[in-house]
Amino acid sequence: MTVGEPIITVNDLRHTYLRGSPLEVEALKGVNLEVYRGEALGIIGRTGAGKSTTVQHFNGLIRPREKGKVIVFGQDMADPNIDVRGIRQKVGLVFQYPEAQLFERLVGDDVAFGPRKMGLSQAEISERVRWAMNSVGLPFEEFKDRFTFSLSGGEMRKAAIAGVLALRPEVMVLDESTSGLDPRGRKDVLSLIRKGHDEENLTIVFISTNMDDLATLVDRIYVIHDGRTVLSGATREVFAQPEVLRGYGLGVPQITEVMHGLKGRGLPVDERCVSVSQAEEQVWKILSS
Amino acid sequence: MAEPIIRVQNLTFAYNAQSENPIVALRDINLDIYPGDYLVIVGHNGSGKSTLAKNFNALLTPTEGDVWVAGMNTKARENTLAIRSTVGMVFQIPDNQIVATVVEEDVAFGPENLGVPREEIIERVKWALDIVDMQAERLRAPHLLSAGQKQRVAIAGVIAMRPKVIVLDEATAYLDPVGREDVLRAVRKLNQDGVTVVAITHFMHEAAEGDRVLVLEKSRVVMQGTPREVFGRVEELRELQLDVPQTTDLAYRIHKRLPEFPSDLLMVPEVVDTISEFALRKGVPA
Repeated sequence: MTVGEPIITVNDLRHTYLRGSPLEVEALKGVNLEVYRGEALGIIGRTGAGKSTTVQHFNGLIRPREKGKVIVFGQDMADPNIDVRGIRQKVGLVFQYPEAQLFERLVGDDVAFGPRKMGLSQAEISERVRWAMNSVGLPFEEFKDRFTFSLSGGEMRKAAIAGVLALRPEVMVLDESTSGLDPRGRKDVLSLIRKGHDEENLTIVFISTNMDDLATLVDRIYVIHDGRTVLSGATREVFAQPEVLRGYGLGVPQITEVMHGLKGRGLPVDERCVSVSQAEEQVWKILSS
Repeated sequence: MAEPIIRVQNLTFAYNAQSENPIVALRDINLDIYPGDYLVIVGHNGSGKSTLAKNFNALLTPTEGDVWVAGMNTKARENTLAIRSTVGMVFQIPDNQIVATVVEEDVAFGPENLGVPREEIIERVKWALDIVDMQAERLRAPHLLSAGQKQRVAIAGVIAMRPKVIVLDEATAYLDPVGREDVLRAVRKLNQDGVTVVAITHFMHEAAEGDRVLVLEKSRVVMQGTPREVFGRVEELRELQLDVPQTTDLAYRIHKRLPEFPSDLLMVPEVVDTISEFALRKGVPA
Protein backbone atom coordinates (compact mmCIF):
# COMPACT_ATOMS: atom_id res chain seq x y z
CA MET A 1 0.00 0.00 0.00
CA THR A 2 2.69 2.44 -0.92
CA VAL A 3 0.52 5.11 -2.47
CA GLY A 4 0.91 8.87 -2.33
CA GLU A 5 3.66 10.72 -0.54
CA PRO A 6 5.51 9.03 2.33
CA ILE A 7 4.73 10.49 5.76
CA ILE A 8 8.20 9.57 7.06
CA THR A 9 11.32 9.65 4.91
CA VAL A 10 14.75 8.64 6.13
CA ASN A 11 17.62 9.36 3.82
CA ASP A 12 21.20 8.12 4.35
CA LEU A 13 20.89 8.48 8.12
CA ARG A 14 24.01 8.20 10.31
CA HIS A 15 24.26 8.16 14.05
CA THR A 16 27.19 7.64 16.42
CA TYR A 17 26.72 7.07 20.14
CA LEU A 18 29.30 8.56 22.54
CA ARG A 19 30.95 10.38 19.70
CA GLY A 20 34.53 11.38 20.41
CA SER A 21 34.85 9.07 23.40
CA PRO A 22 36.82 5.80 23.51
CA LEU A 23 33.46 3.96 23.65
CA GLU A 24 32.22 5.54 20.41
CA VAL A 25 29.83 3.22 18.58
CA GLU A 26 28.76 3.88 15.02
CA ALA A 27 25.14 2.67 15.22
CA LEU A 28 23.78 3.93 11.90
CA LYS A 29 25.92 4.04 8.78
CA GLY A 30 23.35 4.74 6.10
CA VAL A 31 19.68 3.94 6.71
CA ASN A 32 17.15 4.66 3.98
CA LEU A 33 13.44 4.05 4.34
CA GLU A 34 9.98 5.44 3.77
CA VAL A 35 6.75 4.99 5.68
CA TYR A 36 3.48 5.45 3.78
CA ARG A 37 0.14 6.43 5.26
CA GLY A 38 -2.00 3.50 6.37
CA GLU A 39 0.56 0.74 5.79
CA ALA A 40 1.80 -1.91 8.20
CA LEU A 41 5.56 -1.89 7.92
CA GLY A 42 8.06 -4.27 9.48
CA ILE A 43 11.69 -3.55 10.41
CA ILE A 44 13.87 -6.56 11.10
CA GLY A 45 17.50 -7.12 11.96
CA ARG A 46 19.71 -8.67 14.61
CA THR A 47 19.97 -7.14 18.07
CA GLY A 48 22.33 -4.19 17.77
CA ALA A 49 21.67 -3.68 14.04
CA GLY A 50 20.30 -0.16 14.56
CA LYS A 51 16.52 -0.72 14.43
CA SER A 52 15.69 1.08 17.68
CA THR A 53 18.12 3.91 16.96
CA THR A 54 16.40 4.41 13.61
CA VAL A 55 12.83 4.60 14.93
CA GLN A 56 13.83 6.91 17.76
CA HIS A 57 14.43 9.47 15.01
CA PHE A 58 10.76 9.20 13.98
CA ASN A 59 9.51 11.32 16.87
CA GLY A 60 12.59 13.33 17.71
CA LEU A 61 13.92 11.29 20.64
CA ILE A 62 17.14 11.37 18.65
CA ARG A 63 17.77 14.20 16.17
CA PRO A 64 19.90 13.80 13.06
CA ARG A 65 23.18 15.54 13.84
CA GLU A 66 25.46 14.01 11.27
CA LYS A 67 24.87 13.11 7.66
CA GLY A 68 21.41 12.20 6.55
CA LYS A 69 17.90 13.56 6.61
CA VAL A 70 14.73 12.59 8.44
CA ILE A 71 11.46 14.16 7.30
CA VAL A 72 8.39 13.45 9.42
CA PHE A 73 5.04 14.86 8.29
CA GLY A 74 6.89 17.40 6.20
CA GLN A 75 9.14 18.60 9.03
CA ASP A 76 12.91 18.34 8.84
CA MET A 77 13.87 16.68 12.12
CA ALA A 78 17.32 18.30 12.12
CA ASP A 79 15.75 21.75 12.36
CA PRO A 80 15.79 22.82 16.07
CA ASN A 81 12.76 25.07 15.56
CA ILE A 82 10.20 22.46 14.56
CA ASP A 83 7.19 21.56 16.69
CA VAL A 84 8.44 18.32 18.31
CA ARG A 85 5.39 18.03 20.59
CA GLY A 86 3.16 18.11 17.55
CA ILE A 87 5.20 15.32 15.98
CA ARG A 88 5.09 13.23 19.14
CA GLN A 89 1.30 13.40 19.10
CA LYS A 90 1.31 12.09 15.57
CA VAL A 91 4.01 9.44 16.04
CA GLY A 92 3.60 7.23 19.12
CA LEU A 93 6.37 4.92 20.31
CA VAL A 94 5.86 1.76 22.37
CA PHE A 95 9.04 0.24 23.78
CA GLN A 96 10.06 -3.32 24.46
CA TYR A 97 10.00 -3.20 28.24
CA PRO A 98 6.60 -1.74 29.17
CA GLU A 99 7.66 -1.33 32.77
CA ALA A 100 10.07 1.32 31.54
CA GLN A 101 7.19 3.29 30.07
CA LEU A 102 4.72 3.19 32.97
CA PHE A 103 5.27 5.50 35.92
CA GLU A 104 1.94 6.55 37.44
CA ARG A 105 0.56 4.69 40.44
CA LEU A 106 -2.82 3.90 38.86
CA VAL A 107 -3.41 2.50 35.41
CA GLY A 108 -6.05 5.11 34.52
CA ASP A 109 -3.70 7.97 35.43
CA ASP A 110 -0.91 6.47 33.40
CA VAL A 111 -3.04 6.24 30.28
CA ALA A 112 -4.33 9.78 30.91
CA PHE A 113 -0.85 11.28 31.21
CA GLY A 114 -0.35 11.99 27.51
CA PRO A 115 -3.77 13.51 26.83
CA ARG A 116 -3.40 15.70 29.98
CA LYS A 117 -0.11 17.04 28.63
CA MET A 118 -1.90 17.86 25.40
CA GLY A 119 -4.08 20.27 27.36
CA LEU A 120 -7.36 18.62 26.41
CA SER A 121 -10.59 19.21 28.34
CA GLN A 122 -11.37 16.84 31.24
CA ALA A 123 -14.29 15.38 29.29
CA GLU A 124 -12.15 14.72 26.25
CA ILE A 125 -9.42 13.15 28.41
CA SER A 126 -11.88 10.75 30.11
CA GLU A 127 -13.38 9.86 26.78
CA ARG A 128 -9.99 9.07 25.26
CA VAL A 129 -8.75 7.09 28.26
CA ARG A 130 -11.94 5.04 28.34
CA TRP A 131 -11.71 4.37 24.61
CA ALA A 132 -7.98 3.50 24.67
CA MET A 133 -8.26 1.16 27.65
CA ASN A 134 -11.31 -0.59 26.27
CA SER A 135 -9.70 -1.05 22.88
CA VAL A 136 -6.59 -2.72 24.30
CA GLY A 137 -8.72 -5.08 26.38
CA LEU A 138 -8.22 -3.49 29.79
CA PRO A 139 -11.85 -2.55 30.52
CA PHE A 140 -11.89 1.00 31.88
CA GLU A 141 -14.10 0.44 34.94
CA GLU A 142 -12.22 -2.68 35.97
CA PHE A 143 -8.67 -1.45 35.48
CA LYS A 144 -8.59 2.33 35.95
CA ASP A 145 -7.93 2.11 39.71
CA ARG A 146 -5.57 -0.87 39.59
CA PHE A 147 -1.98 -0.36 40.66
CA THR A 148 0.23 -0.19 37.59
CA PHE A 149 2.80 -2.49 39.10
CA SER A 150 0.29 -5.18 40.00
CA LEU A 151 -0.35 -5.81 36.30
CA SER A 152 1.03 -8.89 34.55
CA GLY A 153 3.66 -8.47 31.82
CA GLY A 154 1.03 -8.71 29.08
CA GLU A 155 -1.29 -6.25 30.84
CA MET A 156 1.57 -3.78 31.35
CA ARG A 157 2.32 -3.90 27.68
CA LYS A 158 -1.35 -3.27 26.87
CA ALA A 159 -1.39 -0.35 29.32
CA ALA A 160 1.67 1.13 27.60
CA ILE A 161 -0.04 0.73 24.22
CA ALA A 162 -3.22 2.34 25.61
CA GLY A 163 -1.14 5.30 26.80
CA VAL A 164 0.13 5.82 23.27
CA LEU A 165 -3.28 5.17 21.65
CA ALA A 166 -4.84 7.83 23.88
CA LEU A 167 -2.74 10.41 22.06
CA ARG A 168 -4.68 9.41 18.94
CA PRO A 169 -1.46 9.16 16.92
CA GLU A 170 -1.42 8.62 13.17
CA VAL A 171 1.63 6.38 13.33
CA MET A 172 2.29 3.77 16.00
CA VAL A 173 5.84 2.44 16.30
CA LEU A 174 6.11 -0.81 18.25
CA ASP A 175 9.66 -1.76 19.21
CA GLU A 176 9.74 -5.49 20.02
CA SER A 177 6.40 -5.12 21.72
CA THR A 178 5.66 -8.83 21.62
CA SER A 179 9.03 -10.17 22.83
CA GLY A 180 9.08 -11.97 26.14
CA LEU A 181 5.28 -12.31 26.34
CA ASP A 182 3.61 -15.69 26.75
CA PRO A 183 1.70 -17.03 23.72
CA ARG A 184 -1.65 -15.75 24.98
CA GLY A 185 -0.25 -12.28 25.68
CA ARG A 186 1.50 -12.24 22.33
CA LYS A 187 -1.65 -13.13 20.41
CA ASP A 188 -3.63 -10.49 22.32
CA VAL A 189 -1.12 -7.76 21.56
CA LEU A 190 -0.84 -8.78 17.91
CA SER A 191 -4.58 -8.79 17.32
CA LEU A 192 -4.82 -5.47 19.10
CA ILE A 193 -2.26 -3.95 16.73
CA ARG A 194 -4.06 -5.46 13.75
CA LYS A 195 -7.36 -4.00 14.96
CA GLY A 196 -5.81 -0.55 15.29
CA HIS A 197 -4.51 -0.87 11.77
CA ASP A 198 -7.73 -2.19 10.21
CA GLU A 199 -10.32 -0.17 12.12
CA GLU A 200 -8.57 3.05 13.09
CA ASN A 201 -6.45 3.27 9.95
CA LEU A 202 -3.31 3.55 12.07
CA THR A 203 0.00 3.40 10.26
CA ILE A 204 2.03 0.65 11.94
CA VAL A 205 5.81 0.34 12.19
CA PHE A 206 6.54 -3.01 13.82
CA ILE A 207 10.04 -4.02 14.90
CA SER A 208 10.44 -7.68 15.66
CA THR A 209 12.76 -10.67 15.46
CA ASN A 210 9.80 -13.07 15.42
CA MET A 211 9.36 -13.93 11.75
CA ASP A 212 6.04 -15.70 12.34
CA ASP A 213 4.53 -12.58 13.92
CA LEU A 214 5.83 -10.37 11.13
CA ALA A 215 4.40 -12.65 8.48
CA THR A 216 0.90 -12.30 9.91
CA LEU A 217 1.01 -8.56 10.46
CA VAL A 218 3.02 -6.50 7.99
CA ASP A 219 2.72 -5.82 4.24
CA ARG A 220 6.27 -4.65 3.71
CA ILE A 221 9.65 -5.20 5.35
CA TYR A 222 12.99 -3.41 5.65
CA VAL A 223 16.05 -5.34 6.79
CA ILE A 224 18.61 -3.34 8.73
CA HIS A 225 22.04 -4.91 9.10
CA ASP A 226 25.04 -3.36 10.78
CA GLY A 227 23.58 0.16 10.59
CA ARG A 228 22.43 0.04 6.98
CA THR A 229 19.21 -0.85 5.19
CA VAL A 230 20.23 -3.82 3.09
CA LEU A 231 16.95 -5.24 1.80
CA SER A 232 13.35 -4.17 1.40
CA GLY A 233 10.20 -5.36 -0.29
CA ALA A 234 6.78 -6.95 0.16
CA THR A 235 6.75 -9.42 3.05
CA ARG A 236 6.50 -12.47 0.81
CA GLU A 237 9.26 -11.21 -1.48
CA VAL A 238 11.62 -10.68 1.46
CA PHE A 239 10.85 -14.11 2.95
CA ALA A 240 11.40 -15.62 -0.48
CA GLN A 241 15.14 -15.05 0.08
CA PRO A 242 15.98 -17.31 3.03
CA GLU A 243 19.67 -17.55 2.14
CA VAL A 244 20.07 -13.78 2.05
CA LEU A 245 18.23 -13.42 5.36
CA ARG A 246 20.35 -16.12 6.96
CA GLY A 247 23.42 -14.15 5.88
CA TYR A 248 22.08 -11.26 7.97
CA GLY A 249 21.55 -13.54 10.95
CA LEU A 250 17.80 -13.74 10.39
CA GLY A 251 15.48 -16.56 9.46
CA VAL A 252 12.20 -17.08 7.67
CA PRO A 253 8.95 -18.44 9.12
CA GLN A 254 9.10 -22.24 9.52
CA ILE A 255 6.30 -22.62 7.03
CA THR A 256 8.28 -20.72 4.38
CA GLU A 257 11.15 -23.17 4.94
CA VAL A 258 8.78 -26.06 4.29
CA MET A 259 7.60 -24.49 1.04
CA HIS A 260 11.18 -23.91 -0.11
CA GLY A 261 11.89 -27.57 0.62
CA LEU A 262 8.90 -28.68 -1.46
CA LYS A 263 9.89 -26.41 -4.30
CA GLY A 264 13.36 -27.99 -4.16
CA ARG A 265 11.75 -31.40 -4.62
CA GLY A 266 10.21 -30.15 -7.83
CA LEU A 267 6.67 -29.70 -6.51
CA PRO A 268 4.67 -26.90 -8.15
CA VAL A 269 4.25 -24.67 -5.09
CA ASP A 270 4.65 -20.95 -4.58
CA GLU A 271 7.55 -20.79 -2.12
CA ARG A 272 6.58 -17.29 -1.08
CA CYS A 273 3.88 -18.57 1.29
CA VAL A 274 4.14 -16.90 4.67
CA SER A 275 1.13 -18.33 6.49
CA VAL A 276 0.04 -21.87 7.33
CA SER A 277 -3.32 -21.44 5.62
CA GLN A 278 -1.69 -20.31 2.36
CA ALA A 279 0.62 -23.34 2.55
CA GLU A 280 -2.29 -25.65 3.31
CA GLU A 281 -4.09 -24.53 0.15
CA GLN A 282 -0.98 -25.01 -2.00
CA VAL A 283 -0.27 -28.48 -0.64
CA TRP A 284 -3.91 -29.50 -0.83
CA LYS A 285 -4.08 -28.50 -4.47
CA ILE A 286 -1.36 -31.07 -5.19
CA LEU A 287 -2.61 -33.85 -2.92
CA SER A 288 -6.19 -33.60 -4.17
CA SER A 289 -5.29 -33.50 -7.86
CA MET B 1 16.69 -47.56 35.27
CA ALA B 2 18.97 -45.10 37.05
CA GLU B 3 17.87 -43.13 40.07
CA PRO B 4 16.22 -39.82 39.16
CA ILE B 5 18.47 -36.81 39.63
CA ILE B 6 15.40 -34.77 40.58
CA ARG B 7 12.33 -36.36 42.12
CA VAL B 8 9.20 -34.29 42.75
CA GLN B 9 6.52 -35.92 44.90
CA ASN B 10 3.08 -34.44 45.55
CA LEU B 11 4.57 -30.97 45.42
CA THR B 12 2.24 -28.14 46.33
CA PHE B 13 3.67 -24.68 46.65
CA ALA B 14 1.95 -21.53 47.89
CA TYR B 15 3.36 -18.03 48.18
CA ASN B 16 2.46 -16.43 51.53
CA ALA B 17 1.55 -19.90 52.76
CA GLN B 18 1.24 -18.70 56.36
CA SER B 19 -1.02 -15.76 55.56
CA GLU B 20 -4.79 -15.61 55.21
CA ASN B 21 -4.57 -15.39 51.43
CA PRO B 22 -2.02 -17.89 50.25
CA ILE B 23 -1.43 -17.89 46.50
CA VAL B 24 -1.18 -21.46 45.32
CA ALA B 25 1.30 -21.62 42.42
CA LEU B 26 1.74 -25.40 42.13
CA ARG B 27 -0.70 -28.15 42.93
CA ASP B 28 0.19 -31.77 43.46
CA ILE B 29 3.06 -32.09 40.99
CA ASN B 30 4.73 -35.47 40.50
CA LEU B 31 7.76 -35.69 38.27
CA ASP B 32 10.98 -37.65 37.88
CA ILE B 33 13.91 -36.23 35.93
CA TYR B 34 16.69 -38.69 35.08
CA PRO B 35 20.38 -38.00 34.45
CA GLY B 36 20.87 -36.91 30.84
CA ASP B 37 17.22 -35.92 30.29
CA TYR B 38 16.29 -32.85 28.24
CA LEU B 39 12.99 -31.72 29.71
CA VAL B 40 11.08 -28.73 28.35
CA ILE B 41 8.42 -26.97 30.39
CA VAL B 42 5.85 -24.82 28.57
CA GLY B 43 2.82 -22.89 29.76
CA HIS B 44 1.52 -19.35 30.10
CA ASN B 45 2.87 -16.73 32.47
CA GLY B 46 1.54 -17.48 35.92
CA SER B 47 1.08 -21.18 35.18
CA GLY B 48 3.78 -22.08 37.73
CA LYS B 49 6.78 -22.80 35.48
CA SER B 50 9.31 -20.56 37.23
CA THR B 51 8.02 -21.57 40.66
CA LEU B 52 8.63 -25.18 39.73
CA ALA B 53 12.12 -24.38 38.46
CA LYS B 54 12.96 -22.59 41.71
CA ASN B 55 11.89 -25.67 43.63
CA PHE B 56 14.55 -27.64 41.75
CA ASN B 57 17.45 -25.88 43.49
CA ALA B 58 15.95 -24.92 46.83
CA LEU B 59 15.42 -21.25 45.96
CA LEU B 60 11.91 -22.23 47.04
CA THR B 61 10.94 -25.25 49.13
CA PRO B 62 7.64 -27.17 49.07
CA THR B 63 4.64 -26.07 51.09
CA GLU B 64 3.47 -29.68 50.88
CA GLY B 65 5.16 -32.72 49.41
CA ASP B 66 8.88 -33.16 48.69
CA VAL B 67 11.58 -32.46 46.16
CA TRP B 68 14.74 -34.56 46.17
CA VAL B 69 17.85 -33.53 44.28
CA ALA B 70 20.41 -36.34 43.90
CA GLY B 71 18.76 -37.98 46.87
CA MET B 72 18.82 -34.83 49.06
CA ASN B 73 15.58 -33.39 50.35
CA THR B 74 15.40 -29.67 49.52
CA LYS B 75 13.60 -28.94 52.79
CA ALA B 76 16.68 -29.80 54.84
CA ARG B 77 18.68 -26.56 55.19
CA GLU B 78 22.01 -28.38 55.47
CA ASN B 79 21.51 -29.69 51.91
CA THR B 80 21.02 -26.27 50.31
CA LEU B 81 24.62 -25.67 49.29
CA ALA B 82 25.12 -29.13 47.83
CA ILE B 83 21.79 -28.83 45.98
CA ARG B 84 22.70 -25.49 44.43
CA SER B 85 26.00 -26.83 43.17
CA THR B 86 24.09 -29.75 41.64
CA VAL B 87 21.46 -27.61 39.91
CA GLY B 88 22.55 -24.40 38.15
CA MET B 89 20.09 -21.75 36.96
CA VAL B 90 20.16 -19.42 33.95
CA PHE B 91 17.62 -16.61 33.89
CA GLN B 92 15.83 -14.53 31.24
CA ILE B 93 17.98 -11.40 31.33
CA PRO B 94 21.72 -12.20 31.30
CA ASP B 95 22.73 -8.74 32.52
CA ASN B 96 21.38 -9.65 35.96
CA GLN B 97 23.66 -12.66 36.11
CA ILE B 98 26.98 -11.23 34.94
CA VAL B 99 29.30 -9.86 37.63
CA ALA B 100 32.81 -9.33 36.25
CA THR B 101 34.26 -6.90 33.70
CA VAL B 102 36.09 -9.50 31.63
CA VAL B 103 34.39 -12.56 30.16
CA GLU B 104 36.82 -15.19 31.50
CA GLU B 105 36.79 -13.64 34.97
CA ASP B 106 33.03 -13.79 34.97
CA VAL B 107 33.10 -17.47 34.09
CA ALA B 108 35.73 -18.11 36.79
CA PHE B 109 33.65 -16.37 39.47
CA GLY B 110 31.55 -19.43 40.39
CA PRO B 111 34.35 -22.00 40.66
CA GLU B 112 36.51 -19.48 42.59
CA ASN B 113 33.75 -19.21 45.16
CA LEU B 114 33.55 -22.97 45.39
CA GLY B 115 37.27 -22.99 46.29
CA VAL B 116 38.31 -24.89 43.19
CA PRO B 117 42.13 -24.97 42.74
CA ARG B 118 43.55 -22.49 40.25
CA GLU B 119 44.71 -24.99 37.62
CA GLU B 120 41.32 -26.62 37.57
CA ILE B 121 39.56 -23.25 37.31
CA ILE B 122 41.61 -22.47 34.20
CA GLU B 123 40.67 -25.82 32.74
CA ARG B 124 36.96 -25.41 33.56
CA VAL B 125 36.81 -21.88 32.13
CA LYS B 126 38.33 -23.11 28.90
CA TRP B 127 35.90 -26.04 28.73
CA ALA B 128 32.88 -23.84 29.49
CA LEU B 129 33.84 -21.20 26.92
CA ASP B 130 34.40 -23.93 24.33
CA ILE B 131 30.92 -25.34 24.88
CA VAL B 132 29.26 -21.95 24.41
CA ASP B 133 31.67 -21.05 21.59
CA MET B 134 32.93 -17.85 23.24
CA GLN B 135 36.65 -18.62 23.44
CA ALA B 136 37.49 -15.80 21.01
CA GLU B 137 35.71 -13.26 23.21
CA ARG B 138 37.29 -14.38 26.49
CA LEU B 139 39.09 -11.07 27.12
CA ARG B 140 36.21 -8.80 26.14
CA ALA B 141 33.92 -6.79 28.41
CA PRO B 142 30.59 -8.61 28.86
CA HIS B 143 28.46 -5.47 28.73
CA LEU B 144 29.69 -4.72 25.21
CA LEU B 145 28.61 -8.11 23.88
CA SER B 146 25.36 -8.82 22.06
CA ALA B 147 22.43 -10.20 24.04
CA GLY B 148 22.97 -13.71 22.70
CA GLN B 149 26.69 -13.61 23.54
CA LYS B 150 25.92 -12.36 27.05
CA GLN B 151 23.49 -15.19 27.59
CA ARG B 152 26.17 -17.66 26.50
CA VAL B 153 28.61 -16.11 29.00
CA ALA B 154 25.97 -16.52 31.70
CA ILE B 155 25.58 -20.18 30.74
CA ALA B 156 29.36 -20.68 30.77
CA GLY B 157 29.47 -19.14 34.26
CA VAL B 158 26.91 -21.65 35.47
CA ILE B 159 28.40 -24.74 33.85
CA ALA B 160 31.92 -23.86 35.07
CA MET B 161 30.58 -24.90 38.47
CA ARG B 162 30.03 -28.33 36.93
CA PRO B 163 26.37 -28.72 37.92
CA LYS B 164 24.72 -32.02 37.03
CA VAL B 165 21.56 -30.18 36.02
CA ILE B 166 21.14 -26.85 34.28
CA VAL B 167 17.78 -25.05 34.42
CA LEU B 168 17.15 -22.37 31.78
CA ASP B 169 14.26 -20.07 32.66
CA GLU B 170 13.24 -18.46 29.34
CA ALA B 171 16.90 -17.92 28.59
CA THR B 172 16.20 -17.18 24.91
CA ALA B 173 13.20 -14.85 25.33
CA TYR B 174 14.96 -11.63 24.34
CA LEU B 175 17.38 -12.98 21.77
CA ASP B 176 17.28 -12.69 17.98
CA PRO B 177 17.02 -15.84 15.82
CA VAL B 178 20.77 -16.39 15.53
CA GLY B 179 21.40 -15.61 19.19
CA ARG B 180 18.68 -18.12 20.06
CA GLU B 181 20.16 -20.76 17.77
CA ASP B 182 23.66 -20.23 19.28
CA VAL B 183 22.32 -20.69 22.79
CA LEU B 184 20.36 -23.79 21.78
CA ARG B 185 23.46 -25.26 20.16
CA ALA B 186 25.41 -24.75 23.41
CA VAL B 187 22.62 -26.37 25.42
CA ARG B 188 22.48 -29.32 23.03
CA LYS B 189 26.26 -29.80 23.33
CA LEU B 190 26.00 -29.68 27.09
CA ASN B 191 23.25 -32.27 27.08
CA GLN B 192 25.36 -34.53 24.85
CA ASP B 193 28.13 -34.13 27.44
CA GLY B 194 25.74 -35.74 29.91
CA VAL B 195 24.36 -32.65 31.67
CA THR B 196 20.65 -32.86 32.48
CA VAL B 197 18.73 -29.94 30.94
CA VAL B 198 15.47 -28.38 32.09
CA ALA B 199 14.37 -25.59 29.75
CA ILE B 200 11.40 -23.28 30.21
CA THR B 201 10.29 -21.57 27.00
CA HIS B 202 7.43 -19.98 25.09
CA PHE B 203 8.88 -20.96 21.73
CA MET B 204 7.25 -24.18 20.66
CA HIS B 205 9.86 -25.05 18.06
CA GLU B 206 12.41 -24.88 20.89
CA ALA B 207 10.28 -27.25 22.88
CA ALA B 208 10.68 -29.70 20.00
CA GLU B 209 14.40 -29.90 20.94
CA GLY B 210 13.71 -31.75 24.17
CA ASP B 211 13.05 -35.43 24.69
CA ARG B 212 10.15 -34.70 27.02
CA VAL B 213 7.65 -31.84 27.23
CA LEU B 214 5.62 -30.87 30.27
CA VAL B 215 2.68 -28.48 29.88
CA LEU B 216 1.66 -26.51 32.97
CA GLU B 217 -1.67 -24.71 33.18
CA LYS B 218 -3.07 -23.07 36.29
CA SER B 219 -0.56 -24.68 38.64
CA ARG B 220 -1.02 -28.22 37.38
CA VAL B 221 0.61 -30.53 34.88
CA VAL B 222 -2.01 -30.92 32.13
CA MET B 223 -0.01 -32.66 29.40
CA GLN B 224 3.19 -34.66 29.36
CA GLY B 225 5.06 -36.74 26.80
CA THR B 226 7.52 -36.63 23.94
CA PRO B 227 7.31 -33.46 21.81
CA ARG B 228 5.64 -35.53 19.12
CA GLU B 229 2.97 -36.83 21.50
CA VAL B 230 2.29 -33.43 23.02
CA PHE B 231 2.25 -31.37 19.81
CA GLY B 232 0.13 -34.00 18.10
CA ARG B 233 -2.68 -32.94 20.44
CA VAL B 234 -3.33 -29.80 18.42
CA GLU B 235 -6.91 -29.15 19.56
CA GLU B 236 -6.04 -29.40 23.26
CA LEU B 237 -3.09 -27.02 22.84
CA ARG B 238 -5.36 -24.59 21.00
CA GLU B 239 -7.83 -24.74 23.85
CA LEU B 240 -5.03 -23.80 26.22
CA GLN B 241 -4.20 -20.94 23.79
CA LEU B 242 -0.70 -22.31 23.37
CA ASP B 243 1.07 -22.23 20.04
CA VAL B 244 1.58 -25.25 17.87
CA PRO B 245 4.73 -25.32 15.70
CA GLN B 246 3.79 -24.23 12.14
CA THR B 247 5.04 -27.57 10.80
CA THR B 248 2.70 -29.55 13.07
CA ASP B 249 -0.13 -27.13 12.30
CA LEU B 250 0.27 -27.75 8.56
CA ALA B 251 0.47 -31.55 8.99
CA TYR B 252 -2.60 -31.50 11.20
CA ARG B 253 -4.64 -29.43 8.71
CA ILE B 254 -3.77 -31.82 5.90
CA HIS B 255 -4.51 -34.78 8.14
CA LYS B 256 -8.02 -33.41 8.72
CA ARG B 257 -8.64 -33.37 4.98
CA LEU B 258 -6.74 -36.58 4.27
CA PRO B 259 -6.89 -38.94 7.28
CA GLU B 260 -4.00 -41.17 6.14
CA PHE B 261 -1.65 -38.18 6.28
CA PRO B 262 0.19 -38.23 9.65
CA SER B 263 -0.84 -35.53 12.12
CA ASP B 264 2.19 -35.58 14.39
CA LEU B 265 5.02 -34.28 12.20
CA LEU B 266 7.41 -31.91 13.89
CA MET B 267 10.58 -31.11 11.95
CA VAL B 268 10.80 -29.24 8.63
CA PRO B 269 12.61 -32.07 6.76
CA GLU B 270 10.06 -34.72 7.75
CA VAL B 271 7.16 -32.50 6.68
CA VAL B 272 8.87 -31.95 3.32
CA ASP B 273 9.59 -35.68 2.98
CA THR B 274 6.06 -36.75 3.86
CA ILE B 275 4.34 -34.26 1.56
CA SER B 276 6.71 -35.18 -1.29
CA GLU B 277 5.96 -38.86 -0.74
CA PHE B 278 2.18 -38.30 -0.83
CA ALA B 279 2.56 -36.09 -3.91
CA LEU B 280 4.54 -38.80 -5.70
CA ARG B 281 1.64 -41.21 -5.23
CA LYS B 282 -0.45 -38.65 -7.07
CA GLY B 283 2.19 -38.55 -9.78
CA VAL B 284 3.52 -35.09 -8.86
CA PRO B 285 6.04 -34.01 -10.02
CA ALA B 286 5.21 -35.74 -13.28
